[in-house]
Amino acid sequence: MSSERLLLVTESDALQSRWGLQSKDQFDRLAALDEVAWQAVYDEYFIKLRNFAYARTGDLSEAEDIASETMAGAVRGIRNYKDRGAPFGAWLFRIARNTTVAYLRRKRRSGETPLADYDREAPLDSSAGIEDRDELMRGMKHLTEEQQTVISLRFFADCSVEEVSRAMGKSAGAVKVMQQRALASLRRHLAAMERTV
Amino acid sequence: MKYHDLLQECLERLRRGEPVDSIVAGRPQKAQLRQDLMLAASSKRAADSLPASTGARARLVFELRAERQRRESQRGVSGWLRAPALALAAVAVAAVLVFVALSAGYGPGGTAEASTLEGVVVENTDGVLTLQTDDGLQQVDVGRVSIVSAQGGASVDLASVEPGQFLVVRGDRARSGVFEARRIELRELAQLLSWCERNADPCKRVEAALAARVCAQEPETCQNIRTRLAELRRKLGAIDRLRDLKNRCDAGEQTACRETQSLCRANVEACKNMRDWLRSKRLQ
Repeated sequence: MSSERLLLVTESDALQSRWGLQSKDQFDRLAALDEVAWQAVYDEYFIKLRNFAYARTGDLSEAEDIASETMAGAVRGIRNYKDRGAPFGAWLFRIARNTTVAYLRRKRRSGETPLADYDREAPLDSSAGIEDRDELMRGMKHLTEEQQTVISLRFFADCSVEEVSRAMGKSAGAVKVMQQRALASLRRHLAAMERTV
Repeated sequence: MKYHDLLQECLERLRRGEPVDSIVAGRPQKAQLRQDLMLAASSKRAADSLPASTGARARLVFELRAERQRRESQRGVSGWLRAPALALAAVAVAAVLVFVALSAGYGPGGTAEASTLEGVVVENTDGVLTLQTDDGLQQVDVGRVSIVSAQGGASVDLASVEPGQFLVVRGDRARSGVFEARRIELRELAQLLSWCERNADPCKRVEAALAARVCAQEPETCQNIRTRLAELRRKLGAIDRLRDLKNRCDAGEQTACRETQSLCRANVEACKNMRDWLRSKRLQ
């Protein structure tokens, strides 16, 4: 689980971040398992977490489960969050990413998500107007794990570059480069899929 | 400006609701930029078109209650330390423990002793696992772990670990005596059998511990455990029989050798540790 360790940042970073908790009082209430405070977290993040997981799995009911497990993991681990001082939203998406990776690993082992072998050198001139969600999901499966995470966080969970950089433990510059490559790669794969139809 | 910076600037404008055509107008690499923005917009539309969540508030409330109970049970263990008279005694005990720890070579700054526990799950509730180990019943704080590694690199949710399953827990023994798990591995039945071979008495105590803790409260769960234990007993019976046959085979009794061979074909797991011996007797 070493690669799945939480992002280490200082508490002041967390408080300054747009994604950090708004106040110490808010954090204290979460740490004390205040139901109202947690419901507010649920309202703010559950759909984003679900959409993130959906982009990675392509399965809505699994995505709901992953989002639910992420919230449960946050409740169980909130004391650790206090110790590490990571921004709260980044921490949640970190849990979501780990939970999703574990889920996908299990699925791969059981042979449920075989990946087709599309041409990686496909031209760049297609897919500009893709409307089919299922097709998009199939294209996503051909990206690397990091590329999928960037696309999922940026466009499905509607996170900013700064938020993605916090969640992935990368610099904002690295996220921008990954984002560019992920979109280019996704376009290539969608174009290749279109050619094979 | 590098392309990834340009793309990011345009994506931010797209996020604010500007149309793609107006964003890319007059930009270098206009065609590539347009494609990237269209794809980003499609991804966003795909997310927006997902149905409303069925919700998981009930699970959240359940987890909050479970976590509260877990904390309460942990406080129960350490609560006596708050009594002033006992606190003084605790300080004295702690001083002795620190002295012992330092004498044993644990330098300053070390707060716990890394170690490994092997045992059969007797109870899994509220973030605490109770294991029957070779050193009696041990409680393990699993607050830092949510995923259990299973055989072959797979993983399972901690909540799905059931009484009767065999685990190896790596973690730290805090000076308070509490064992805090860092990593939990679920092991196969063959390894439980091997543990039972090495620890016959604790193995026999598993059933009694399970009966006392689980069966009295949860008859349905108990039925699963009894089934698992019946299987364990059957395998242990096979091991006893194998041991007897092996001794007789070593003593030159050919019928015992043949019977060992036949029993091992039917109980591959039970004979895993006997491969070398079987080869040496040309029984494999």
